[in-house]
Amino acid sequence: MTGYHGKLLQVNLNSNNISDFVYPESWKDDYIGGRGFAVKILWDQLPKGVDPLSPENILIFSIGPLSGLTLPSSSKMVVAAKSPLTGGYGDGNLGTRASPMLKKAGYDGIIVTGKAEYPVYLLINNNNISLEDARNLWGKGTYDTEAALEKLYGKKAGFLTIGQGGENLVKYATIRSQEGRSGGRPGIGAVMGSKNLKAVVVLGNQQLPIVDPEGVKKLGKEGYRTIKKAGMYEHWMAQGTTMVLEWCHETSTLPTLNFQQGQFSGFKNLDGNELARVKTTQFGCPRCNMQCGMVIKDEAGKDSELDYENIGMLGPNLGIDDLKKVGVLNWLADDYGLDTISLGSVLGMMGEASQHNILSEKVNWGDFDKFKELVTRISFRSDELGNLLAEGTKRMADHWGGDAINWAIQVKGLECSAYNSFSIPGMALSFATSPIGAHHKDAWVISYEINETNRDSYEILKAEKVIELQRIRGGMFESLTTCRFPWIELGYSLDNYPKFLHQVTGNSNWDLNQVFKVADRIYSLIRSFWVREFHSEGIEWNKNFDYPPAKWFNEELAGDGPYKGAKLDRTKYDQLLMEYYNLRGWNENGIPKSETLAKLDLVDVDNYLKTLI
Amino acid sequence: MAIVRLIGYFSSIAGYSEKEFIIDQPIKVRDIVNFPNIPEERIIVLINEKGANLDSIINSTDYVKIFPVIGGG
Repeated sequence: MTGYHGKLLQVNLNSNNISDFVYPESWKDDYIGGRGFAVKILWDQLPKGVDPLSPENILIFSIGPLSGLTLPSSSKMVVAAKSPLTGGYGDGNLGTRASPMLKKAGYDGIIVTGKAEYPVYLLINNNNISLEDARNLWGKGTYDTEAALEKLYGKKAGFLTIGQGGENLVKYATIRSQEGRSGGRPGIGAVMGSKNLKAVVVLGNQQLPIVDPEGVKKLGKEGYRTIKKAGMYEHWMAQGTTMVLEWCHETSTLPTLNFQQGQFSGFKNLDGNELARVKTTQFGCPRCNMQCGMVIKDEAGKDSELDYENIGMLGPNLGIDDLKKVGVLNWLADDYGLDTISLGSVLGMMGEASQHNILSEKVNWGDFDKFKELVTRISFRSDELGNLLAEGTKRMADHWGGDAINWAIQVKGLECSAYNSFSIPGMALSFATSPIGAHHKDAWVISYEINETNRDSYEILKAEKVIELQRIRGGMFESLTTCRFPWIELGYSLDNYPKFLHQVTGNSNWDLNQVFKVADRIYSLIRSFWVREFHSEGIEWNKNFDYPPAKWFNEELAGDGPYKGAKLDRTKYDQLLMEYYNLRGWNENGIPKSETLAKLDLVDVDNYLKTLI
Repeated sequence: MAIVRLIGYFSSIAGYSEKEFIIDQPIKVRDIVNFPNIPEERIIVLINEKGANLDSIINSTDYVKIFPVIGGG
């Protein structure tokens, strides 16, 4: 009993060989689990320069020591691989019953390599593991796939599936679970599709490896009670993250018409109040008492589960001001298994290209029917345009050339989440230094930036805040693997998490500083992975990869509002980035210094990097 | 005339999203808005788009926005 099972399930789809990967004991303290284990496996086991969609890529499903336990919002799972969208480290997390089930089945994760001869799904029932024929599921959307599997294995099983987007290798295809959860923005669903792996089904009923189960039960119960007593709880339950839409409109950070503007005249038709008015129910992940999945009946009569990101990216960003229409685009994306953030950005870029009259086929802002048609063409790569849009905004910009780079709202190839950052340099830094490409999950600093700093300044405090949040959100929560929402949205104390770690593992040395050291190790190892993989393509890593989208420097915020005309300053941003590197102990190219890697017990990584640079 | 705009759940609590206040003499933000169940560290106050707090003084032509602190998903 150490809080871990000490092994991951290892599945080779080339040979159908199934075995245990017993990892070194030191990983528990050095990497915790989840994202930490994922990057360690990719660094150690993935041959340099592998094509992300080749059988050699490694697909990882990784849980942490707190996964699935009865404590607030604990049923997260990290899915990771070398990303086909970015060519670097890619991961995502999703809430899924597969998380507690895998824990109960006796594994800390799953490592998948190779490619099956024909479509299969992986069935894990405790230590009975098999690969099952999935040819009858191939071609189905995620809703039908999960329904078919549920008939066979019951509602209590954990399911991870891909839709047609993953099958057709759309570069921002996700992995889906429990009808509403998605993870793996940088194309982890496409990696799963490239392996002919349609689904994973997990059933387990073994004892959980907890050192102090009574302690966890008591602290977990108090946690649920604390969350419910938070003054904001009833408001959160009414709107969830959708309250952010009005917030972003009022702060001029709403992505509107492909991030050209920061406010949207139709925002009231899409905001949290409207959502609360029309929602039919709400869903959450297992072990959660602050369910954030808001379900509406969309215009096509489907139950579409919405949150802020997908409303922001498929509503204002496309000029659509009807929540039920946004619901249709969202439901389709979920069924095909596409990331709604990247999809919204791709469609927005198509809208801006049309606005500039560079294409023979056009889409006008707000043209719901045309956007809907494009979603299907992307998912099936059914024609030349659909095929191009399936590649993501960076490749679209490369293909169109000229000014198109200003319409691609991405960093390292991954599209930005729904926060328009012309006037918030700290958030721009957060997007630019996120370890998977532009994403908000590691650090979201806008509340801090507008409330506690001079909003449009480039002061070092902003770099410090980005790192502080990256340690907490990107390091701690992604490796534990639990949801950050109890802390960030309802104020549940961070101090509880080392306590849980102590109770689960028996290791009394855990405190937040220890956890943050692990977070720094994870960040430097992820960065080293990027350096190594880009080097294999003949590309020397440099600071330009840590720059936010070109639009925020080259254009001005358009539309209405007090920040009209705002833009980022390249010289000042560069200084802020250097401050960030300095705080991280990385050199002027954004590469971890030898002394930093030594402090993080990554001397072997440093020795390897020295052979490259 | 000062304008107070409440964002997110603050408008549900107070029952209005925007209201005009006649300010005869300078007055603190907390004297005209009150959210007893919400911790103060979860409240953002902007006066004329600049960072402020509940003890900041409102003058007669100010535009006050009050937001909940959110974590950004």
